[in-house]
Parts: sequence; C-alpha cells; structure tokens
Amino acid sequence: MFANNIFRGFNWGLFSLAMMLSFLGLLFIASATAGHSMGYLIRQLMWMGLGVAVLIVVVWLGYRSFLNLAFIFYGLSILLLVLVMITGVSAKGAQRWLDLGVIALQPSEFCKLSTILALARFLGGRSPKKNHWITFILASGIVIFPLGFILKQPDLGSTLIFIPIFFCMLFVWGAKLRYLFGTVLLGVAGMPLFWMLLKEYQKRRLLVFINPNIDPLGAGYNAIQSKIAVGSGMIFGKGWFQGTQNRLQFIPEHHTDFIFSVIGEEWGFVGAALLIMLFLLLIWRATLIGTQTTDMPARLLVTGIVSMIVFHIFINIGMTMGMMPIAGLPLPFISYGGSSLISSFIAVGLLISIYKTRSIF
Amino acid sequence: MRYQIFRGVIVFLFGLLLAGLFYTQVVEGPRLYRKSEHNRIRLIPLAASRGDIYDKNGLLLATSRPSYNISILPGDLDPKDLPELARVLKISRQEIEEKIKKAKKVPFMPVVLARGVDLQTLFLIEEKRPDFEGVIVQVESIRSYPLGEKAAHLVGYVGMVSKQELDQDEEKKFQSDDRVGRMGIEKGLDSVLRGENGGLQVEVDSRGRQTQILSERKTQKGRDITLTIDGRLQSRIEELFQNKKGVVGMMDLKTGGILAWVSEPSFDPNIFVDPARMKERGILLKNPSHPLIDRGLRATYPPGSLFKIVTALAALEKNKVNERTSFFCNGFFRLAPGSRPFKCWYRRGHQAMNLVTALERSCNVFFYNLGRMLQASEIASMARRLGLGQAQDVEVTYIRGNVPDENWKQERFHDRWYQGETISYAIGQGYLSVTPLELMRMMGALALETEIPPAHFVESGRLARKKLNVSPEDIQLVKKGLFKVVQSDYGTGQYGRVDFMKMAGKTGTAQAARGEDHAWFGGFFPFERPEVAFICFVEHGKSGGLVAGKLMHEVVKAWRDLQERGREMEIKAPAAHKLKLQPVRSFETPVSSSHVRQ
Repeated sequence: MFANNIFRGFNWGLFSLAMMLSFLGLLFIASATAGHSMGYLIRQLMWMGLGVAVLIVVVWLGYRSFLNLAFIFYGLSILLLVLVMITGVSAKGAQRWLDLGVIALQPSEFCKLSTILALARFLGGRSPKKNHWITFILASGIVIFPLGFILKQPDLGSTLIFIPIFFCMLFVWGAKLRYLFGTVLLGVAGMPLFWMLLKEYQKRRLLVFINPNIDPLGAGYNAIQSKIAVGSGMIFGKGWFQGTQNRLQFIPEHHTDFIFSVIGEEWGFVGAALLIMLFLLLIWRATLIGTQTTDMPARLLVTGIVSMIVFHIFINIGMTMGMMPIAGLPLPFISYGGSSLISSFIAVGLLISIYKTRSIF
Repeated sequence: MRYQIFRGVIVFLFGLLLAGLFYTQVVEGPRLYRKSEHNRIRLIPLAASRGDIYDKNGLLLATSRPSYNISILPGDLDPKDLPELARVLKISRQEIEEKIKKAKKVPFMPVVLARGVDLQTLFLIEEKRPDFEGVIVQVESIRSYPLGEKAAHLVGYVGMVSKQELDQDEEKKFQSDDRVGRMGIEKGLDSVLRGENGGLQVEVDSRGRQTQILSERKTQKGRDITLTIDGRLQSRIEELFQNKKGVVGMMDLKTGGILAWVSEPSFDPNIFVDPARMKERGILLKNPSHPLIDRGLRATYPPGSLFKIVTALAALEKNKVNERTSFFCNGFFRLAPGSRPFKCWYRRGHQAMNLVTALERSCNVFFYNLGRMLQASEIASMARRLGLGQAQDVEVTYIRGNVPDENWKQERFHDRWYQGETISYAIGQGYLSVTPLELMRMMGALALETEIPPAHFVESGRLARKKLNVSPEDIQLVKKGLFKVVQSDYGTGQYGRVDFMKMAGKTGTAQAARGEDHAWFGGFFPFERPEVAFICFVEHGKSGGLVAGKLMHEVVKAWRDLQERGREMEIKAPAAHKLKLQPVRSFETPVSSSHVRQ
C-alpha cells in the first residue's frame, strides 16, 4: 500500500541520477582522503542512506505539506541560525556548525531550502498583477533575514547563493523587469556598504579572484593550486588515486569544497565533462517537472530548487578553475558533508513529489 | 515563457562551465601540468666532498670539516620560542625576525639564523630541540687549513661560487652553493679537488616534506693532492721571518719540487672559509701591506746584483771576457770622459777584478764594463734562456717578470735603447723585473748546469725537463764565483755560510721604486752535489748580504735540522710510519697541470 503510493509515478530518472552522482562523490572522497581513516567514506555512505530515507519520507509527505508548513520551517531555520550564533562551533573563523553530539549540523544548508519553500509559498499565493510592489518588498524581506544571519556567520558563499535564487524565483513568478533591474542597481549602490561588512579574509578572497598572484602563498594559494590541479589533469587525467596535487596536499579542503579539482586532476577533461553532463541531465529532468505542472507554487519551488543546485555547481566548479571567487560552497551530491548531502536529497525528494502530482490535470 | 528563458539560462551556464573546463584542461593543460610537476618535484643538490691537500710527509694542509648551522622552518616555529632562541644563539630577536621576513619569498625553505656555531651552542640547541619546534641543525662541509697562515698563499682558500661563474657554467659542474678555489693550489687544481656533484630528485608534499626519492645521481669525491712541500720546514721558515716582508723558497733539485714556499706577511686562509670569522675578511682586505699577495709568484722586483750572473754568462758566451780578463774598479765608471758616473757600491773601489772576484765581491764596475761590451738583446737572450720572464710549471697562477731589450723598448716607449741603459741592465736595474720564483729556478739551473728544473708544487713525478742552452764551462766558471760569495771571507754572502757543508750563492741589493733597497740572496747547496736551490728575498731589507744572507743561514740550518730528525725517525719506526702515510700519498695518475697556467 505504502510502497505503491510512494513509488507510483516515481521519477526514477531523477533519483538514479542523484544516486549516481553521490556514488561518484564517494569515489573521489575515497581518493581525496586516501591515507587517512576510512571514517570519511563510512560517514558519507551513512549520510547517503539517511538521505535516501529522508527523500522517501519527503515524497511520502508530499511537497504540499512542506509548502503548507513553509513558514514554520522558515522560522525554525532562522531560529537555528540564531542558535548557531550563540552556541555554534567555530571553525576557520566562522561559526557555521551546530554541535548535536554525534553530528555537527550546518543550519545554513537547510535554511536555503526553507527560504525557497517560504518564497514559493508566498509568491505562489499572490498574483503579479495585484499589489506588485508590496509583494516584491515582502519577498525581499523573506530573503533578507536569513541572508543577514548567514553573512554574519560569516559564510560568503551561502550568502551570495540567495541572490540568484531570489532573482530566478521572482523572474519566473513574473516580477516586473524594472523592479528586478532596480534591485540590481540598488545592490550595486550598496556595494561599498557590503564591502565594509566583509571580513578581512573575504575581502582578500575577492581581491585575489581578480588577481590570484597578488598573494600566491596566502589567499591566492587555494585558487592557484586548485587551478593547477584541474589543468594538470589535461584530457585524460592522471588516473584515479594518482593526482599529485591532491595526494601531496597542495589543495586544501580537497574532500569538501575543492573536490572538483581532484576529479579534474585525476579524470581529466573527459571525466570532468562527464560529471558536468550528468549534472546537466539531472537539472534538465528537474526543469522538465516545472513545465509539466500548472501549480504556481510548485513551479516556483522547482525554480528555486533548480537554481539552488545550479548555482552551487556553477560557483563551486567555477572557483576551482579560477572563473569564480573562492566561496565556501559544496558541490551538491559530491562534496563530503552530511548537511549538504541531505538537503540535496530533500530537494530531489521535493522535485519527485511535484513530478508525482503533475498528473492532476 | 519566462520559465523557458530560465531553462535557457541554465543551459548557457553549463555551456560556460564546459568551455572553462576545456580552456583550463585542454588549452592550458600542458602548462599547468608542468606547474604541478614543478610543485611536487624538488632537486636537492648533493655537493661532492672536496679532496684534501697533504704535504710530502702526509701532513694535512687543507681538509674539510663539518660546520653547524642553526636554521628554522618559519612555518613551524612557535613565536613564543623566539626570545629563548635569540638568547641561545646570542643574536637579537629583531635580527631573527628580519631574516625570516627576508626569506618569506621561498616557502618551506629553512632559514639560516647562525652559521658555524660553536659546539657549546650546538649542544644547547640539541638539548632544547624537543621544545623548539621548527628549529633544525644543518651540517655544512667547510674547508679547514690546519697550518693557517704558514702556507696560506700556497694552499690558498675557497670561496662561494659567484653568480657570474654560475651563469657561464656550461658543463653544469657548479651548484649554487658551491665553493670554488680562489687562490693557490685550491684554485690551480680546483677541477681535481672538486669531484663531481650529484643530486636527488625527490617528491615533496605541499609543506615541502619529502615523500619519495624519484632519482639520484651519486656524488664523486674529489681527489686528494699531495704537495712537494715539507710542512714542517715551511712552518719553521715562516717563524724565522718574524716581522720581515719577503719570500723564501727552496726547491728539490732532483725533481724540481718546491720544498718550501713562504711569502710574508701572510694571512689565515681560514678567515675566508669559516662563517664565524666573516668579519675579519674586511680587515684583511684593507691591510696596507697586502698580505694576500704571494710575493714570490705574483709580484716582480728588480733582481739587482743577482742579475750579474746573467751578464757574466752573456759576456762569456760572446767571448767578450774570459777567466783572465780583468777590469780596474776605482769606485765608479764613466761611459765617456765627463759623462755621468755609474757608482760601485764600494766607494773606495775594488781595484783589479776578474770575473770570479767580481762575482765574489759583487763589483759593479766590472759588470758596467761588460755592459758596455754587450747589446741589451744579448743580455736578454741569456736571461730568457735562464728562465727569467718565462713560463713556469707551477700549478698555481703566477706572473712573469719583464726582460727588456731594444725591441721591447721600441714597442713600449717608441724610443731607442740607450747604451747607458745597458750599463744599468748589467747590474740588474732599470726596466728589468723578475719574480722570486724565476730567480730560484735560475739558481737551480746553475746548480744543475745542463737543465732548468721544472719548479712545481704537486707531487706528480714526470715533468718534462727543459735543456739549458748555455755552455756548461761558462756556468762552471760563474759557479766558482758563486762559491766564493759564500765561502770566501771577501764574499758578500758570507753571512749565509753554514759549517756543515759548502754553499754557493749570490747576493743582491736592488733599488726599490720607493723606500729602502730590496735584499736578495739566491743560491744552492751543497756545492759539490747540489740538492737544493733557494731564493731569499726581503722586501726593503736594505742589504742582501746582511739581511737576506742571515735569514737564509737560519733557514738552511732549519732544513738540516729537519733532515737529521727525519733520518732518526725513519730508523726508529720505519715500517709503521711508512705504512700510515701510504694511502695518503698514493696519487696514481699524474695531475695534468697544463690547464692551470695563466
């Protein structure tokens, strides 16, 4: 009964792509952590199991329940962010983790989803034809809160990711273009203020993005070494477990944020391009779901989730090649880390749930 | 519609990523691949150990010893250890911080804080090393010269290879930290002593820690060199010099090997190799008496009366005089009536002089007369055949004296040669200048009568002997005079006389460009079967017979002393002593010295 309900109209394609990507991730976490304990692999495998379970629960509950409870989730995640600020565990000068005993939770990962849910619920319930600017301002308010908190942590990457998500959702909802451009102009005008809010190391990262060689052993080190790693893979790569940049620790965080440089180095252009194509396939299938539903909140939800995953991928891979500034963002499904993996699976669960209910019409 | 635009943007973004990936991996790939190799592969140069230098008895003259440098890995150093570290090394904290700052450009490379620390400091550091994180002790091989200033010019010293030498080093024989011989044997036989450098190609991780050795080229130790020098004799002579400046050289006539070669004032070559004595270098270089110059090899002086030997031989060869020819000395000589008088050193005049007595008493007037009968070119030809101003066989850099003649003057001054100049020439003054080494070799040639001994420093055996193209009868006649110089009570060199054997020689007192005259005494002994030729030169020593003669007297006594003692030692402990020296002296292949000449 239960199984029938869940797996009827299940989007197997989407699910198997997510699983494939996660397994690829495992392969490279194995390479990146070779010589260390097996702990990383085992924990990531555990997270995958948990992720699949959570995905099934999400599909079982259905995206509508999530939309209904969107504001509660939203409030809860804001609360978690406040908690992080008070009691959180700091690492590398930032407080991002909540220590829950066995695991450390990174609430900003979940906050992205709950904000998307809240935006989808809010915008989906209002027509762009009525009280347009009020809706626009209120929607901005929904985003501003978590953005401010995360910026305060500070987590530049997760802060920046809110902006494209917000714009994509507003755009698909039907926001007037001049409003969108106006916001952009406002943002540009507010840049100096924003610059002042940044921590010293974040400023350096941005400056280094413009020219990594101004500080090759400091802030530019990651950018340069990661680019060398990716490039040195050339067409066919140095072979799995054979990446010297990876093995000899030239790339920092190579099992989390910089995992793509390991893939690029070891599997070369062929492997890295294959990975990107897999991502594109996943995203393409996900966007198809949006075309098949007439439910506005559902379509907005798809837009939000898709843009969240896309911009994670774009910024993450871009930064390993020096196309993007170094922003501490994980590569969805691939990077080591429970919070990111589980929120990705929740996202896929929501998409599958929307897919299942498309046959309403 | 907007949703479709959104989907389009996504595809565009992925296209951008793929294009970036293509650019990074395919277009830039090879360049970045080289960078990654450069990242992980380090070349660690391994310096070959330098050969040692021994004297003829196996006494060490130059060797290598470990020197300890205290370095830090800046990344691993705990700043709270700085004050303690500064205290132990006796340098200021600021100095350490400055050095770290300066070295920041090369990451993970140890920064040297103190070079050549003494053992006490080394033990202190070793004791505290478990607490001092990032502090390491590096061992460096540095040169050591046990005899110090007693054989400084001869043995020489090494210095850091210069940037220019590295740039011009096409055979890749140098590494950036190499030492190169800068003087003496260290310089002359650098390529033999040097050996072949090797290196390791190692893989390192991001913190510079070695993970594995990829390839290795073994170093080849430089060869040891045994000199003809007797270190003990050398030391004794150096002590006899006291505060005088000058040169004493002695040559074994059997081989041409130089037994002692002392140039004073000297310096301690260890100053140039011991990092702890860096400061003394500047003081030494500014010393006004130029202790760095080997006065026997790299300076020329007028030979004075020693040159009368050459004039005599030239006149005999041209049949201008014979054994019975005599000239009257009344204290001066005029080329023509009323012209400027050339004085004899003995104002009252030597009366009637023949060739032998003129040499014995060093009568100027007799040789002025010879000078009047000879062409400058005839004197010059004899001088050259006796080796003056000619090439040498020594393995170190040297300069040549100047033996002038008419052509030389025409070329140099665009002027003809005046007869008055030949008169000065005849007694070893004027444009003529020689090195003490050249004069010693000339005395050796007179002793041997038929050949010019190949003066050399490195024990190598077969050196070509040059035939002496001068009539032996003439030489024998001259030698009669040289015998009397020392052995007769009229002889100018009688202060050099020793009671255990007969010596022959010639004194000289040469006018210096400024200051007191230079004193010369050159000769050989024993007279009947010559074993040793010598030269003694005292800069501004006033009188050859007095100062140089007396000094040589002491030197010859010291030589005799050591000979006696050597014989005793050989009788007392024959086998063991010999055996011990064997490995040191087994120098199988003769060292080619052709490449060290200027």
